[in-house]
Order: sequence, then C-alpha cells, then structure tokens
Amino acid sequence: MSNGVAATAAGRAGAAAAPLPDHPRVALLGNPNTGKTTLFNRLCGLRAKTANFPGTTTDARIGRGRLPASGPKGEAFLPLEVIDLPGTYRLQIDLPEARICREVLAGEGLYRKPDAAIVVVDACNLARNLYLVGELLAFGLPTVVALNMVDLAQQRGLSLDAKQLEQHLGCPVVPLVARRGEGVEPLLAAVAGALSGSRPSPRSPLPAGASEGQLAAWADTVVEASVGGAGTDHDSFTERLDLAFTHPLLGVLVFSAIMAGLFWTVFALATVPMDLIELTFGVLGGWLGEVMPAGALRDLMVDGVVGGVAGTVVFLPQICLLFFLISLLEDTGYLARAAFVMDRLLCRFGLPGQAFVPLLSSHACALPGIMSTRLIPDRHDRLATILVAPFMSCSARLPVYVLLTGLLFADQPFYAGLVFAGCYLLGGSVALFSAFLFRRTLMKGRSRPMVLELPTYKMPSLRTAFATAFHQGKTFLERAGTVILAICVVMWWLSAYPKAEPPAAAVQLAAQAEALQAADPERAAELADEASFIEAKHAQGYSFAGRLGRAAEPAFAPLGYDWQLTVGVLTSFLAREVFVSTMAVLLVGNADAEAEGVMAKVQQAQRDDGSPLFTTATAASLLVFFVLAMQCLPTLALTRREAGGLKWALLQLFYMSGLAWIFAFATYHGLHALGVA
Amino acid sequence: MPAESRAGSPQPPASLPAVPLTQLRAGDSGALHTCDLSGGDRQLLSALGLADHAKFRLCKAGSPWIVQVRGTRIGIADAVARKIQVLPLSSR
Repeated sequence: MSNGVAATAAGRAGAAAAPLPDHPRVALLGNPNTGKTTLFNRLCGLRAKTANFPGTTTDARIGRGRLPASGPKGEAFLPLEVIDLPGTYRLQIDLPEARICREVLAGEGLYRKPDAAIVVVDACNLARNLYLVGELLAFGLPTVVALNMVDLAQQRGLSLDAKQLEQHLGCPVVPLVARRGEGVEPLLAAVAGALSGSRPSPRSPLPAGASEGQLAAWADTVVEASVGGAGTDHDSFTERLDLAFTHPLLGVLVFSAIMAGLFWTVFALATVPMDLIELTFGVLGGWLGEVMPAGALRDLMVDGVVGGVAGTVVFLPQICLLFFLISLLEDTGYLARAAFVMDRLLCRFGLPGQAFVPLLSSHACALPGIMSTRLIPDRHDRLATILVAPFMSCSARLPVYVLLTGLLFADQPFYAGLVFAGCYLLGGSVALFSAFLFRRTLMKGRSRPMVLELPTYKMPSLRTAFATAFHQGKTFLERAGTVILAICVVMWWLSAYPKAEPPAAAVQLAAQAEALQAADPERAAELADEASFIEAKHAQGYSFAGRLGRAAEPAFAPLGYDWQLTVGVLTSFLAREVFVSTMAVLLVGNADAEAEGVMAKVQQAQRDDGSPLFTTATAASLLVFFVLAMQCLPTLALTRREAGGLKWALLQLFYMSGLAWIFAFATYHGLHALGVA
Repeated sequence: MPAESRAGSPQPPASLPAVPLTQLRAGDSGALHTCDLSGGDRQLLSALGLADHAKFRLCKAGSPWIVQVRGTRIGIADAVARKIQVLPLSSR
C-alpha cells in the first residue's frame, strides 16, 4: 500500500448495483484509542443526539451524516445514521461494552439492526485490532475497515498493503487519518458500495466458536501477509515520558501541576461567560417584569422560570470548558498515566485511579464531576464515586463559607483562611471515608485493580475537543435543565405563596416614608427600606417555606438553629448559595448580601427571644452542615440519571444530610462543652 | 518482517520456572504462564494481547508495571501484577 491515504475503495460507489436503504444505519466500532470518536465527529459533525443504550447508563451517540450515493429520487446524497458504539477490544468477552456492541449488531433491544458496520483499526497495532474485526465479520454485516493513523504507522517504519488486507478480510479496507479528515470521503464511498450489495457480505474467516489461539493465529497470518517494513517496538520517547509521568514523586508533581492548570483555567475563563449569562438572564427578567402586568404569572415567569433556568444555565461554561480540557488531555494519552498516579492513593479507599478527575472536577461543580465518572469502567467504582463526589466543596458553597467564616473570624483573616481550608479538607476526608464505607457495605469489594492500555502520545484534536464540549453541554442542558426547571418553579412557589398582607408596622412605616418624601428624602428612603424589610420578613415567615421552617425547627434546634436559620437551610436545598440571599432577606431585607453594612446587620441579628442568632457554636455548626449536606437539586437529578435510579439519589440525599446533621450536632455541642458558645 | 509479527513469533521453550511478574526487572522479556484473576480482568488482559503464552517486554518495574505486547503498552496495577505468573525469557 502507498503510505499516504489511498482511495482504494473510492471507485466502489460507482459500482453500486442495488438501491440503497432509504435511511441507512451504520454501526461504528473499534478498540479504545483508535480514533473512533474523532472519525464519528468527522462523519457527523455536531449533528448527534444522545440516548442511553437500553438497560444501561452508557452513552449511545447517534449521529447524522451524508452518504454520497444516488437516492431513489435522484438525490446526490442520502442521509446516513451512525451509531457510535462503546470502544471495545473484543466482542465475545464478558464486559458491559462488549455486551452492548453485540446487542446492537444483532438488532436486539430498542435498536434496529444496522445495515452495515465500520470498524476502526489502529494501523500501528493491527494484530490486536484484527481480533475485533474477526469477531465482527461473524455477524455477516456489510463491513468496511477504516485503517486509521496510517501516518503514524509510516513514521514507525511500517508499510501496510490495503489490497492484501482486503483479500484476507473479504471486505473493503480504507486507509485514513481521521484527525486530519484524510480518507473520510473514500470511506463513505466504500460504505455506499458495501450497502449497495455490490459485493457479497463478508464471511467469518474463522469457524464458529473459534478458540483464542485460532483467532490469534488468523490475525498473525493476516498481519504477516499485509504488513511490511522494519517497525520497532521500542519508542524511547514514549518510554521516557511514561517513566516520568508514572514516577511515584515526579508523576505526582506533574499531575498536580497539570490539574492545577486545568482548574485554574476552568475557574478563570468561565467567569466571563458566567457573568454574561447572569447578566443576560437579569436583563431578561427585568424586561419581563416591565412588560408583564403585575401578578402571579409575572412572578412565576420572572422569579420561577427565568430565575430557575438562570440558576442551572450559569454552570454551562464551567461544564463545557472542563470537558474541552479533559478531551484534550485524554487525546494526548496522558490521562491513562494520570489514573495510575492517583490509583496508589484512592485504591486504599475502594476507589479507582480514574475517580480522581471526577472528584477534582467536583470542586468546581458536582455536575461536571458526576458526568465525568463515565471515564470509570467498573459500575461499582463508578457508583461509589458518584455518591461521594458532592462532598467536595464546590463553588456554590463559597458564598456560604465566606459569610460564615466572616462571622466566625471577622477581623482575623488568617484564622478565617485556616477554617476555609479546613472546610475543603473536611469534605475531601469525609468523601474518602464514605467511599471506604460504601465499598464495604452496599458495593462490597475492592476497586477493580487497574489494567489499562497506555495509548500512544499524540497531538490532541481541537475539533474533537470542541465537539465533546458541545455534546456534553447539550447533554447537561437536556438532562438537568428540564427536571431542574420544574423543581425550581415548585421551590419558588413554596417560598412565594401564600401571599401575606403587609403587617401593620410595615404599612405605618411606608406611610411615614411617603409623608416625609418632600421634606426629608433621606429619612424617607430609610423608612421605606425598613418597611420593605419588615414586609419581606413577614412574607417569608407566612409562606409555605416559612411555615415549613417553623414546623421543621425542632429537627434543627439540636444544631443550634432557630426558625430563621431553618428556613435558610431548607431554601438552600434548591442550591446552597441561596442560603446567603435568604439570610440577607430575612435578617436585613436586602437580597444583596455583599451590600455595605449587611454583614454587620447579620452579625447583630437576633432570635425571637432577643438572644444573638449567630454564636460561635451556631456559625461553626452551620459551616460543618453546609460542607457535608446534600443541598443541590441539580446534583440529585443528575445522580438519578447517571447512577440509573432514584434510589441512588435518595441514598445520596439522606446519607449526606444525615452525616451533616451528626457532624453539625457534634460541633455545636462540642464547642458548648469547651465553653466556646 | 514487521515488529508485530516478530514480537509474537515462537521462541525456544523457557527453562526457568514461572515467577510473579513483579520479580522481573525493567527490560526483561517473558511469556505469560498463568494468572489468578477474575474473569473480566483476565479477559481484558487477553483482549489487550496478554493471553496465555504471549511474549512481552517489561518496560517499567513498579506500580504501574508497564509491559509491551506487540505494539500495545499495558499499565498494570500492583495488585494485578502480583497475580500474574510469567516465564522469564531473557534478562536485560
């Protein structure tokens, strides 16, 4: 074969004899790290939708491409549906990804049997990839072999004879470099040819039930006949990098530097689009407030729908950026090495090395963290990681930490910083302890010891990274957004209804403010603010959420919370940062907790009996509660999706909140016992 | 002959007794003898090319143990490496 991308199959489309199916469906499969996803993105661009393979939580991506073939009405192109199957080394092994592939190829489950298959093989590692090809040919589907990374094979001194390969396999073989898009057109032409039945469907080269040895011998024979050149097994560049990246000390340093850079980039670059999203929704809410007549519908639209959507969509930039960067890292081949670096620590707690990326991502937001658990192959390992990921202190906790550490150490930034760091440490430690506990009870067993292919290092594909970020962002919006929106509306309704008549004190103050408007506008404004505060506090207390707060007060009283703090805790069930604005509304009458003087007023806030609302013990207890409690509906909705059942979301909710209650109780009473109340 | 075929070509039978993979040194070659692993792990190793009698080169000793089988580099955690018995074929 020529070393470039030869269009050996290009002419086959012209030989199409039979009419093609109206909407041909092609299954795309291959070993992991063979460029399958890159090829999928080349074939379908962003025209892909996501579903789950039946009975699993494994992503099934179905994309739409165009096949250069004459349609029944004389069209130049036919729509092509491509199913991106999970990467697998073999079909006939007892692993979930292999089972999914077998079911789809056989047309079992919800999916129609594909009309043809494209199998992506790594030109640098043909023998191992041929095992999968041999097993696929037994399905009798029209098959095209996409011989990817022929450029790398050439660099390694290998020359591949595609014609010989075709003869041995009995199906078209198209050399390509998917990363650069070279060979994609000939590949589509070959698919059109295979679909048209211009050549007989390939037959299995091996007898039914062939042994491992027979498969290996067949693969060796094919390689012997079609691969030439003096390739080398020794790649000193790869070996040196592997020694560094998996070194007990240097590997950890490199890993820490890369992860620090990754998360700094996520935090730094996401700020601007997040601010823009908040601004946009703020403007939209303001505009709706102006154009809609006052009333329940306007409140619902502005506070419930727009506010709820904004609260979810604001995380989108972080999610897209994180997956963009993870895709780049994964593409380079580094992530497989990083997984081993972390495996040394995490396996002691029953988690695999691959859990590190999700756990670290959860410091930005548990949503992308939980979504990235898809990198973990073992279901028990994955479940354990999903359940403990929200213990990591996410960015939504930061405003609460700022408020409470500010209350605890108002003029002692050093101690405030220490407590701040302690919150992160507490969350991380409890996550590891919980994983340890889960792996000895509900998900018995050790984490699956790691056996991973260490793929060849290569330049990452920006195109693939963009497509991954787009795909994950879209999935996030589709999966989390719809459920969250409904829940946001319910939570808004609970905290806004029933409407209360303004209390007499507020009415009186408002009247005084109006009377003083001309003579003393400054004093009038102060009185109007005070009237608003009293009215808002009364409305909060009168609402369903307020009543719930009073009803739930006995459950939180042992932690040192009165009904006001209980309302704050309950409303922050929607999202943790809501605690700060709820406190500001309840205690100050101003939703902007960062406004001047608000902190001082919060510090001076009193309970109904006149005692201080925030003592050292109460603030510390609240801080511990917020570090550990599950107070994020989007996370629960995602856990339900990703773990594959409501029971896992409920377990996460009750386990985390129960643990938070116990730790907060111990903190409150421990400090009391030490005389630090 | 390509590197892939050469790496998998028959070798003279080993005379040394089987030892755990963890006893080899970086640069040593060996052939898989037996492994005491669960079905999934065993099948995964086999699918990656480390099947019975497959010949490999140990590229890195210590967790992760890195072996090269044909063109595939495989990282293996300590817990797995200890359960893999190999026949040493040559030392560095």
